[in-house]
Amino acid sequence: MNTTESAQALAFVLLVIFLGYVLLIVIPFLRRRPNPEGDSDLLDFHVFIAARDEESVIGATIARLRSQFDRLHIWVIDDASLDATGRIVTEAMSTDPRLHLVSRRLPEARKGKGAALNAAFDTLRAWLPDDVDPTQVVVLVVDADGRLAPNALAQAAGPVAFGDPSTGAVQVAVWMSNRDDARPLPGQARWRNRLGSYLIRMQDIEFRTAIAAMQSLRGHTASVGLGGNGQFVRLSALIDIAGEYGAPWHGSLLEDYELGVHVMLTGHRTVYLHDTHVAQEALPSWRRLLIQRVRWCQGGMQCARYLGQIFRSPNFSNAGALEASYFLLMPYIQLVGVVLWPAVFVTMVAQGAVTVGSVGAWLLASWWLLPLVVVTGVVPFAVWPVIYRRQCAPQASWLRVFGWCLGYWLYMYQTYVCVVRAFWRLVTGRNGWAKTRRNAESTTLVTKEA
Amino acid sequence: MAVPQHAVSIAPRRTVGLRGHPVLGLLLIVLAVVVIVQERAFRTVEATLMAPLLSAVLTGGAVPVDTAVMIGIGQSDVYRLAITSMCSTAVLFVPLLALAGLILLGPRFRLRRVFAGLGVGLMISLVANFGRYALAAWALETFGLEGFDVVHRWAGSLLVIFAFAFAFFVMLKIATGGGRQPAAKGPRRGIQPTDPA
Repeated sequence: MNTTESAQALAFVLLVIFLGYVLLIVIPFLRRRPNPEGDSDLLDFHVFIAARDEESVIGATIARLRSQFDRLHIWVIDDASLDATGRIVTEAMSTDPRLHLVSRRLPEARKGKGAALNAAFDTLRAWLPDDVDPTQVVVLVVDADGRLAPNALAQAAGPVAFGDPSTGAVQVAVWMSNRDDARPLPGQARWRNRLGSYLIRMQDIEFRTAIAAMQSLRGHTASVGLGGNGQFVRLSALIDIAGEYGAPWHGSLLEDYELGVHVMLTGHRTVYLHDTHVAQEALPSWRRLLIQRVRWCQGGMQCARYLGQIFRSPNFSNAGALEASYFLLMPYIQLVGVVLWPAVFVTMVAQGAVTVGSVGAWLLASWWLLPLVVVTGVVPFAVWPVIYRRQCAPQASWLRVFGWCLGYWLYMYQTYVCVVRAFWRLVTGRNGWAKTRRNAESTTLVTKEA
Repeated sequence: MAVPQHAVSIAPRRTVGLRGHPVLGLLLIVLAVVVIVQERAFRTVEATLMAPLLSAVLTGGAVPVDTAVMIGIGQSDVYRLAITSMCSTAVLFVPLLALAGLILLGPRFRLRRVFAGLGVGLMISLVANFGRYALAAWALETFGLEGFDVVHRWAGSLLVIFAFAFAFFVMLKIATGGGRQPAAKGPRRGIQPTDPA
């Protein structure tokens, strides 16, 4: 077998593994049953909101949470904001005894979301009476623009979630709150708004189908990952992690997934709830989206260092260890793909052109490849908008869904850009935290580097 | 002479199988490499095994010649079906062997289950690929080169792609089953579902 054939064989194997994985996540997702709810009054919920320069959204988020959940304690961590975030929270505290402010000041502040959440964890523990049972206290992490579904706490208290004492953490589904916004970039050109609207829809499809399906599979393999928004963790689990690893949240750029790994390593179960959700703003610009995804991708690469611990841990199931391995190695596999797929394609075209005389002649003779490419390279992506229509947008016309199918297939190619950039940042030691700015903020600023 | 009776203590039989086995894991990885290096010999064996199978399926006879099978022996048209490197079952066997070897390197997985999974995975791959060969040969004999093209390019490719994905899934399903389950932690506390009434 020569080099070209070896590369083709490797490409074939990677393709088959990918197709197998898609089948593996689609089937349990389509067969899942609704989760029962529980009595949320039996638990004490505390929401942590890490806020750095969030004056544009924090007031509305606090008001919304309070109107939905009157017993909830809200802890806003002001991470040395340069704007009016702290003042807005302080003013709201005068009428809300269950609203708390954790003020962080430089030089300790602005060291990442994990450090901010750790500060809130320490403050909460000091604030709680000594006789409080930490198994009955649940910490919930919500973004500064996060919108919880009204049934979120009841779902979290259900028998498959915190109703089961072995459950240490719960992740709820994530929706995009601006998914129907036709003009997400007011004042900008029409084509920019159309592009923004498309990106927002793709993110909604991605989170509510493909990522949700991955989480559903993880429900079976007991390896559900936590996200940065809509993440519930039992206080006793956080205490266990702090006891074993120094602090609940750590320094990876994907500190939420890292927390999930620690929850499982300390012997607690993680659960995904698809019948409730948290809504967040999707990003309407390519630039901001790529920055966000590079950060996530680099964070995933950093978390690969846990593979050894995962494989040694008695608290991971065998299937969970394999699933986590696949997830953590995925960026590296994609990195191989960045080189492999174009190399195989170019070689195939070149060899074919030499054999039949020209590229044009080869294309004519190789038209039969097209259906195979569609079935193996487009359908695995295009299937998600179809599921999305069935589950989330039944009013959408099939013509529109067809457009989403093509759009989603193209949208997923951003992962190849992100994986290269993330790898470059990883090897050059650039681990800074670039927080993506909110849509309501000034359009001149793309990110906020720590 | 009567044999004196003694109270014999019999150690309880082990109910948990061996977990992991680095040496066997390495051997499987080496075997995967050997299959790659010796893939021509592998294809020759495939052709030898395929010939009697095709003889049974087709009207004409079939004989192996190196890495190919001559079909239609005794008929007006005789074809040479070449098993190329990319068509070979070796391409399907190597990743299964390598993956099984890798997961045996660690202490998590039960030896017996990994080998059972590997056996089933290899069998599914073998049956699917030999089925593809047979289907292509039947189409060639029945419909000529156009029939062969349809099976070789589309039906056969899709059959092998999805059968291989299935083989992977089944292998992992068997290998991961009966293994460690995450330990439950914390006291039972009663948080009951809300009464719908």
